[in-house]
Amino acid sequence: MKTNDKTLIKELIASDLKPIGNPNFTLNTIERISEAEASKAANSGVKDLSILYPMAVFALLFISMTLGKALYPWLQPEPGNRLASTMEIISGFLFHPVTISILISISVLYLLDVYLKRQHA
Amino acid sequence: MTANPNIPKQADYAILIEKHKVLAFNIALKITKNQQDAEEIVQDAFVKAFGAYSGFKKESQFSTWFYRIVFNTAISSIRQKRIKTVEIDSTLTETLASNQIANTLTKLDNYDRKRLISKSLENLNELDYTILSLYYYQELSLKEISKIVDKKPNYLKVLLQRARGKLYNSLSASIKKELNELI
Repeated sequence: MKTNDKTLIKELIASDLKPIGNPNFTLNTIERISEAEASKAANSGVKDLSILYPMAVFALLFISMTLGKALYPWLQPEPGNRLASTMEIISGFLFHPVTISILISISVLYLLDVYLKRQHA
Repeated sequence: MTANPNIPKQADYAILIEKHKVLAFNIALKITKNQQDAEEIVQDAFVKAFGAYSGFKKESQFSTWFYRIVFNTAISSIRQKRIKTVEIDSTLTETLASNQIANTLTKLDNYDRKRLISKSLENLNELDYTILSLYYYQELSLKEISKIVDKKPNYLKVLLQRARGKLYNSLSASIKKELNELI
């Protein structure tokens, strides 16, 4: 590449550069950045956890089922048998393939939500 | 009241805005052909780039990324309302050499010179203008420009030669026309 070309084309482009119409462009841009940063800071502490409610219900049922199974040997036959059949129903619900698929889908959606929020932050 | 920790960072960034805003605006203007759209695109690009600014170690990395945002945003904004530019033949045989062009331009008065240069640059399409301005004016490397316009460096070299040829052809034709009118 000839130096002449470099100098000439640089000068040609420089001489034809149009100025930005808005004289406060830099200031306005900085203001927009400040607003964006302020809203990001205001929203950073607030997390929407509603998507995790089904997970919480699952965890609660799982804990109560574990507790029930642990208590079973210590109870009298009558309430013990009732507890055992209740636990069977709960575990049937918890480990049903549909429940597991719903929980996996919710987890994936939650992670996607967190990732997208981080990208737009 | 607490001091805003972003102030020094934003002050540094204002220097970068001042440095890049004019060329970015001209690239966006060349693509969109609309001053307001171009300003909006450049401002958006600066806002988007700010978040990642502290992560850039070299200024050249910032400019590559920033011009890429400007170029892509401008291109996608006109995708719907694309205006066809007049293609200039880059294979004209009677192109003047760069020193002949430079000599003739210095002989013209300021107004005629500006008008002639402006007309010749107007005839370039958006990609040619972007490549030429980033390579010759902003002095970015072919590798950096290839990332901005998403073309392979080898192909970009061909595009750059072609764009330069187009500019010289257009200038030569205008200069010859100007000289003929004088005679």
